[in-house]
Amino acid sequence: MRRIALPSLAGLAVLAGLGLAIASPPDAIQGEYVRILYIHVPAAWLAFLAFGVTAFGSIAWLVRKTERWDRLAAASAEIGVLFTGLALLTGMIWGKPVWGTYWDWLDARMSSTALMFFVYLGYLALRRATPDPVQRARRSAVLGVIAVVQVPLVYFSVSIWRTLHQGMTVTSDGIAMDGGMVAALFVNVAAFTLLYLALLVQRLRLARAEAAAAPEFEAIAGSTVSEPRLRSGS
Amino acid sequence: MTNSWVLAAYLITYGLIGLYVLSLRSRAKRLARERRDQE
Repeated sequence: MRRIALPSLAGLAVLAGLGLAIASPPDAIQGEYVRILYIHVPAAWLAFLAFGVTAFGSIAWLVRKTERWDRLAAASAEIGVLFTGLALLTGMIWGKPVWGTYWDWLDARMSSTALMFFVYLGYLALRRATPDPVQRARRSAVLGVIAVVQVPLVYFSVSIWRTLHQGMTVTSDGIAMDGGMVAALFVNVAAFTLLYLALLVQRLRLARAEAAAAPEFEAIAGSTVSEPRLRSGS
Repeated sequence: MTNSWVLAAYLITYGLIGLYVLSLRSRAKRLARERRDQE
């Protein structure tokens, strides 16, 4: 029952988000292009959340040394990379008709997000390149704690450096948007949050199955290393 | 949603999420098959 409930709930929320994204009013300046906001912003916010969970799992592993925290950190990082990639792609698609360019390396938000994307790709590569499970967990936990520093840096980059990307829409002073747009944005944020949770549950289930399926030697030395043949009598 | 840029953004987003779900499922199926073969 629980296995079906979360993905179904996420699916329904995505449909509701799509409905509101279609029904919301066009922007006075950007027109229809503003509808990209309803997937671009939730993807970026959920990437931040995913990397926050990775940092939490990493700290928990460093304190408790329990395998499940390492699995949580890794699973969340993988989904965070997916959401960051989506934020970058949708941002590029949005940028072309509105700014006249897909990409600008001098823009603080774009460059810092791209850097964050590659650092977390490096995190996943580091995990694949380290066969020993304890060493893998330790190295990736340290990186998971250090790399999360980029999240506030990316978030506040539009306030620190005023470049091409627009400033923050949601601030402590309120939201500078029409009510219909705010509703569409927050329903899509809720949908992406449920989507993240559903993906995390599925990824964790796979990680548990992978750990259970790994033979004892592979669990220690990694699947790329073959078991040495010992000569009898030596 | 008739705008082609908007449509492209939505198709890429949900298409990639769908592909990720399919990859998780196929990895889980392969693991289950391997475990069955070993038994």
